[in-house]
Amino acid sequence: MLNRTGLFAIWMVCTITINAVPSDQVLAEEQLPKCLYVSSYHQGYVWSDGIEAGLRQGLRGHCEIRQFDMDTKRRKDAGNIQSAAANVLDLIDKWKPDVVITSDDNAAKFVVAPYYRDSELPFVFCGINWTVEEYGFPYENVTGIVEIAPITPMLQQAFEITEGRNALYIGAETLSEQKNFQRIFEEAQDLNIAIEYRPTATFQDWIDAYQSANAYDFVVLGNHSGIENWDATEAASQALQLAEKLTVTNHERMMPVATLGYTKMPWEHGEWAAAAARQVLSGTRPNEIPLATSKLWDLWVNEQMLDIIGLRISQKLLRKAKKLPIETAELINN
Amino acid sequence: MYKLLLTTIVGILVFSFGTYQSARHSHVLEQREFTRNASGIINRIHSDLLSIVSDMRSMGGAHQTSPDGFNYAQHEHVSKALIDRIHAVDASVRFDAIDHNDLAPYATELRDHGIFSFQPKTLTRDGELKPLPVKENYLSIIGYNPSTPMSNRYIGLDLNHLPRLRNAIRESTALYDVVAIAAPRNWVSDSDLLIIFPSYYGNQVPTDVESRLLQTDGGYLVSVSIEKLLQQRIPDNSSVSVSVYNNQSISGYTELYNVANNRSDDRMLHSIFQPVELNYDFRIGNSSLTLNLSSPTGEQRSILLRAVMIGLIALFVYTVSASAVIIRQRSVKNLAEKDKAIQREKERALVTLRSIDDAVVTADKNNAIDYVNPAAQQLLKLHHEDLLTRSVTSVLTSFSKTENTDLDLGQSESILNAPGPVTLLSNSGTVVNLRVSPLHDTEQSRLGTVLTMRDISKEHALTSELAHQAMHDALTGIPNRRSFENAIIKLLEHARSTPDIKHAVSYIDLDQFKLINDTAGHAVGDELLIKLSNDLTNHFNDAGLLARLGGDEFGLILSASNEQNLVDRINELYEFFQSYYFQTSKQLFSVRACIGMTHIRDTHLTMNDVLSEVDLACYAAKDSGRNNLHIYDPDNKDTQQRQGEMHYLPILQTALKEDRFLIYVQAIASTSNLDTFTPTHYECLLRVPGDNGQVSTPFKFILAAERYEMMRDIDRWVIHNAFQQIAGFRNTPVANHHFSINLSGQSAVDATLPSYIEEKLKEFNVAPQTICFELTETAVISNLSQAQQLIGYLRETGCSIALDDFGSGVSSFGYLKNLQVDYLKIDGQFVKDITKDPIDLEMVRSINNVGKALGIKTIAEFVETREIMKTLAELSVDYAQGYYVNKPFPMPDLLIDEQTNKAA
Repeated sequence: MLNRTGLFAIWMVCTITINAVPSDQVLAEEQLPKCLYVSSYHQGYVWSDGIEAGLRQGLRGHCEIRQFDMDTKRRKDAGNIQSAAANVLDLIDKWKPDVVITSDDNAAKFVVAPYYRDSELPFVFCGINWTVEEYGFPYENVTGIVEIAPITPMLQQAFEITEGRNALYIGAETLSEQKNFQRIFEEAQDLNIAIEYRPTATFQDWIDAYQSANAYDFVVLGNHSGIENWDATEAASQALQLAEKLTVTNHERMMPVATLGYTKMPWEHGEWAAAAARQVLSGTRPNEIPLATSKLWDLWVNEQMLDIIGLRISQKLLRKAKKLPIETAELINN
Repeated sequence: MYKLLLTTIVGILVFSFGTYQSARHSHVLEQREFTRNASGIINRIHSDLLSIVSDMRSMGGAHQTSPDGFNYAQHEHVSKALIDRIHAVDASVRFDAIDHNDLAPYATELRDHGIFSFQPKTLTRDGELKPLPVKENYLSIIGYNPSTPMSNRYIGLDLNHLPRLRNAIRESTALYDVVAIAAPRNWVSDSDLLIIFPSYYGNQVPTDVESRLLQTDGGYLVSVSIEKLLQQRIPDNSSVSVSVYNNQSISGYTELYNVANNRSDDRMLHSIFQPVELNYDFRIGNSSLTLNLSSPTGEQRSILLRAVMIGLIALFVYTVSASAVIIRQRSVKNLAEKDKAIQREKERALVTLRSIDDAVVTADKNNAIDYVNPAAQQLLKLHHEDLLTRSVTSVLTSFSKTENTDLDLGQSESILNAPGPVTLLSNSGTVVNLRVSPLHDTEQSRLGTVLTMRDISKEHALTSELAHQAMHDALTGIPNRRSFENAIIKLLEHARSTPDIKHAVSYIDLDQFKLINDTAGHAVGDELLIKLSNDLTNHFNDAGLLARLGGDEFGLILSASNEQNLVDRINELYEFFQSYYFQTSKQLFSVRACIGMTHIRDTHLTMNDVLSEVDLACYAAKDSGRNNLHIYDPDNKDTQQRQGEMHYLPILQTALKEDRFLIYVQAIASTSNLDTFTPTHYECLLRVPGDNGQVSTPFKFILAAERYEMMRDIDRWVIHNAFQQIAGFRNTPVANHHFSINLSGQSAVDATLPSYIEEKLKEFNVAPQTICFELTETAVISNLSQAQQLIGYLRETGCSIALDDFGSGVSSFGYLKNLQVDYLKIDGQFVKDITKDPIDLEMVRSINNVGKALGIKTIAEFVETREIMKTLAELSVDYAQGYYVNKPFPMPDLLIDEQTNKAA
């Protein structure tokens, strides 16, 4: 028989056990820090999806993630961009994240630079092309990774294959593309290659430019993003009919219309941003984390295009490069 | 002798035990030492394997990041270092994915690396390397270390052609992980473990499985000899087995290596002293390796085995000898005990036979009696000595048979083969039950016979009495219903074989017998039944069977040699009851009867066929008035109808009992609007569900229900269930609707109906003002005074009354003055042709006018078209009911909007 003291002791143990276990669990869930991810573009855009995949992989279990897509790739008018930026500010104000991760230029340009310079809220950026000087980074509260494309090996290889120094750059008529061309132009000068920029506003402009490329030794293809009425299937079909010269690109989604690809890896940005965010959450100030540049790239060959233009490239290069599957037109739709 | 043997054996056992203890001690020490060393050994083996895997991952990483992909010099350098470090590595191989279209430039490129005649090859089952026919692509070895004249032969070997290897490479490629499998035959050693790691085109490893499979450019393979790996470290005489598991293993683990100590004495020793069994599992990338290690056999344990064997043999010899002696002694003792038991059983049997009441006679195989017990002497009334000189048959000839059996009491064979007990009758009147049992030896040869006889005179008499009672009426002594039915069954069985003899079966139902019972008392009634039975028996004894079926009902089977004679006898029966009187001391009763009869015909197959016809004929006789004889005629329409009604009777009974009736409703709408209706009054209609799911109107059932007086119960069922559903409509849009319920003529005269209705109104809390009872004009007029009482009561409770089918009956407007009804329902027969027949038009007009004059609302039935509706509106008939308004539908559907809309 249990006496009164014994019964009380059992009751206390049960009460403590019952109350303690779930409260710990609830506490653990409640205490997860908050990570806000602001994408300049939209889900479904291959580049952004790659960054998001790397980011989520790296932050899983470390913080509660919320995502805001500014959608400035499809809705690029100034009013929409300002409205999206205002929504981000509102979300930050209400949700109060512990760290904000931004991807690509517009989030940095319209949110971080104008409103959060040296503020208490830490930011980690990724996917910004070539340089961050225009935004004045780094700030006290900002760190991140800059996107560098492998343009040097691309131009060197194009020159080695064609032995020509007269090149054409075909890209969208956007600031981003102008920025890309400027970098390539500077690198080409170092290699003694003359390169000309052909901005294209519409799909027809792009087809015309592609056709006129036959007058050059090789062609560098920029991003199609920003070209009106872009039709990936038609572009691939036209390229197979029109191509006569070597075409190279830094954009994986342009591979169906290019011969060789020296492509960037979006998940590298996501992974690095996630690692930096984790570091910030553990107490490191952003200004203690140096800015980084992307280092990984991949090599592609479009064998179908190679056959059509009748170029011979080294067996080593052919063996080393990833082979573009035939049914990949959808790659460039996004 | 035994003592010497025992002493020797005990000595051996002590020696064996001592040896065992000594060996056991050594064994325990050995196991401890083995266990202590094993984990260190295993760690070193595991460490070697991990080192190999690590080198392979390094080779793969270097390959991926190198701008030129595979590097021969680098591979050779890393492979050499690996082989030098781990001697168990047999081969380190690079294999490339090669498209056939690229084969020629590829072979040219390989010349730069000293491979001058690259050719994809395959490995036959005999271990022979043969050039491979053209294929779309290959997975060929292009680098083999250590490079020797022998190993260089494998340059070009297409690994795709080795199924197990091909699948493992695919798995490794898909997962971007190390996979290990057992080596295929005829290449490296069969006990080798092949470890595979993939590489891909481009600088980066693709992130998804599909891309990895698409972008593979080959991989690295290292062959490790498990045998060498173990031999360097495992102690001699250990048993060891190694298995590898991966997704390519069809049946789980594939054994790579197995060395077990198979000596027979070791196996025996292991069963006595189990060696230490150690199991280790290593993960090698996506595969796993299992290593089972058993401790070696020690010398001490061999000594133990010999000692134990000697001890066991000694023990066996002793056990066999001792067992033989004991078995013999027990056998002799058992025989003596069995003899005594047999004697005891024999004595017990004889005493039993002498004391029992059953007579027992035994005979030898020649049927000569050799034993009789005292009961047999008494039963057969013969002396013991006399019986012993007789044969069985001579004793049984003094009996006669009482049953219909093939037993011949004069024949011994017949007696001995009697199938079961037989009842015999002795000359002195004793009834005996005889049972004959043959006696056989174990080989089924007949030894003799046992006759058992029992005096069953009393039981026999009692059984006969009971049998008579079961088949006869206790009051009159004539056969009862069971006898009557058996007689009909026999009659049907023999009718076909005697077609000339004619039979008629009849029911005789006495008229007004109850009056005699009530006026003169039951004793007089009984007296009448007895006298009538006797008189009928005397009169028709030569022509048939008379039975009392119960109460005042008799059954009579008449038989005659031809049709005319039968008709004569039938006439006699009729005449019998025309002049039959029963005289008591005080009164003279005229006894008359209704007689139903049928002739036996070929169409009668069963007793029920006959009795159902007799029954129908009896009903017909009763319907025709008292004192009648009716002979069943299959062609008679009345008979057919009645037969049909009887068919419906069980359907109605079942529906009522199992609550299977359904209530449908049909709207009664105002004639004020010809095209749209918003009815609030519905008539409840009974429906009978069929077996096939269809629902029937009850018209064909109603006649049966009325004839068999079921209408009262059916009306009550409708009232109960209609009220129940109306109660369910509370708080719904149809809550205040009015519902009409039909009452039959039988209910009209039911004095208890008002209290039933009152009870149900209260039970379901139904407002009486919402209920209207419909009575047919015919029912009311046939029972005018009772119907008036019912109408008065129902109106008092608040219910309204409608006179249904008005115009179909006597149509006397005079009655209407004395009937306080609220509605007149004009018979549909007049309404349906109202637009064509001027007489019908005038009938409806006059009924409506009379109704109006008396302040009664009128309802026209059978309103099927808009023209009829329009005419009724012109005549100022108040309401219309019929298919034009809507068809009847299940009452619960009133709540469904769709149905309401139909009505609208």
